[in-house]
Amino acid sequence: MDCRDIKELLSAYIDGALSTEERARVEEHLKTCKECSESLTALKEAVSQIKSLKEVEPPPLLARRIMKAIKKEARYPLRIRIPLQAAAMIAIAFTSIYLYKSFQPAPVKEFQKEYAAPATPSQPPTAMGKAAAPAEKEEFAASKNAPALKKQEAKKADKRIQVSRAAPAKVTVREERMADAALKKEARPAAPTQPKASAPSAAKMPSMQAEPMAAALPEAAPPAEVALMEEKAPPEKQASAGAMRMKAASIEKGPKEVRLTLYVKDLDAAAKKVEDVLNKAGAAEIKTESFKDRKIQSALLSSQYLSRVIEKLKSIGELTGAEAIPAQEEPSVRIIIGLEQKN
Amino acid sequence: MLNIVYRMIRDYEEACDVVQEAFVSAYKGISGFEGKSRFSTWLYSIAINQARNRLKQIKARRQFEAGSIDDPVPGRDRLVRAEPASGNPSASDTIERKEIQTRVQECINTLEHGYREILVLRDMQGFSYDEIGSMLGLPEGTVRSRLFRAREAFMEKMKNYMGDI
Repeated sequence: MDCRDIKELLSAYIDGALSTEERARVEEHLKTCKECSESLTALKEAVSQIKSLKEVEPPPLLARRIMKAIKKEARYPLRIRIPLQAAAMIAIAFTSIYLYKSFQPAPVKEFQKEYAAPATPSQPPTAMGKAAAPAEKEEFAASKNAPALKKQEAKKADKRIQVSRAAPAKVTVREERMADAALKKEARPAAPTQPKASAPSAAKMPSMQAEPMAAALPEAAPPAEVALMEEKAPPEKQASAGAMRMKAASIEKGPKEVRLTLYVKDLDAAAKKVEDVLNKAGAAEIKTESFKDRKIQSALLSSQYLSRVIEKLKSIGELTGAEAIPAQEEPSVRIIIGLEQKN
Repeated sequence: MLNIVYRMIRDYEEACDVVQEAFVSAYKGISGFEGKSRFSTWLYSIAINQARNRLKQIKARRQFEAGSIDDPVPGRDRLVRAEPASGNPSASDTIERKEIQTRVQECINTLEHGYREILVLRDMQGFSYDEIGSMLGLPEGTVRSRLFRAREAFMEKMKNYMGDI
C-alpha cells in the first residue's frame, strides 16, 4: 500500500470509520512515513478549522414563524385550499344569482303569478269547479236583479275600461284592444265550443265585472276586431286570448295609488332615504323623477308594509296626505311620493 | 438545521426561509416518514433538499442578473457581518479567530456544492457516515470517498488562500 492509498484512508481514519484491519495498516504506515504523518496533522488541522466555525443563531422569531406557517398549512392545506377556493367562488356565484332571482319583492311575484296562471288553458276540473261555484252564484243573483242594476253597472264597467287604458301598465295598445275584445266576448253567454275556458275566467273575474259587460256592450255591436278574432282565432289563440284577458283584468283591478307629499330640506338626500325605505320594504319598480325643485318617487309596494313605510317617511320629513289613506284590501299599492323643498 | 442550510446557501435570510419551508414540507409529508432512519435525519434530509432547490433558484437568478454564484469569492465584510460576535475575552484572540473563520468560510464557499455539503454535515455538524448516507441518499463508501476529496479540496483552497495573502 503506497502513500496515496494511505492518504485516502486518513480522512476516514481520523473519523474512526475504518475497519480494524485498515486502521492497523494505516497506523503501521504512519510509523515509518513522515510525509503521511504530516498529511495527517494537516488534515486534523483543517478539520478543526472547519469545526471552529461558529454556528449562526436563528432569528428570535423563526420558531414562531415556522409554527405560524405550519398552523396555516394544518388549517388549510394547499391541496384542500386550492379546490376549496375554487368551490367557494362557484358557490358565491350561484348564491348571488339565486339571491338576485329570489329577492324580487312580493308584489312583483304576485303579478307574475297572475300573468302566468291563466296561460295554461286546461286546469284541473276540481279547481275549476271550486272556483266556478261562487261565480255562478253571483251570476244568478245578478241576473235576478238585472233590470235594476244594469244601468249602474254599465257605468262602472265603462269606468273600469277607461282605467285599464289609462293605467301605467306595460301592455301595448294592441294587447289592450285584444283584452277588451276578450272581455266583451266574456260578457256574452258562454259559447258551447269553449266551456272550459269560460269556467276559469268566470271564476277569476268577479261576476260584477262580467255581467255588466253584457249590458254595456250588447252583442249587436261588437267592434270589428272582436268579430275577426272570434271567427278566425284557432283554439290555442283563444287560449292566449284568455291569458290576455286575465292580464288585462289584473291590470284593470291593478294597484291603487297612494299619493303622499314629503317636505324636506335636502331633496337629494331625502330621495335616497326614501329609496332605501322602499327597498327595505321590498318595493318594486322604484322610480325617481327629478324636476327643478321637486322629485317624484313611485313604487309598487305590498299593502302590508304601507303603514310602516309611512312611519319611516315621517321621520325623513314633513309628510302630508297620509291621514286619509283607507285600509288597503288589495295586496299591493302604487305609492307615489312627491318630494318638495321645504323653505 | 439553520446552520446546515446557511452554510450551504450562504444567505442568512434565504436560509431562514428554507428552514421554514422544510418544516412545513416535513409536516405535509409526515406520513412519508417510514421510521427507517432517525426522525432528525429525515428532517435534515428534507432541509438539505430544500436548500439544494433554493440554491439552484439563486444560481439561476444570479446567472440571469450577472455572473455565476461560483465566480467571485464573497466579500469579506459580508461574511464578517454574518458571523455572530465571539464571546472570547481577548481582543487579539477574537480578531485572529475571526480572521481564521473568515478564511475558512471563504474557502468552504468556493468549494463545489457537493463537497461543501458533506463537509458541513460531517465536520461542522458531526453526523456519522451512516447518517450522512441517509440524508444524501448515498452509500457509506461514497460518503467516505467524497469526504476525503472534499477535505483535500478544502486544504488545497486554504493553501492557495494563505499563499495569496
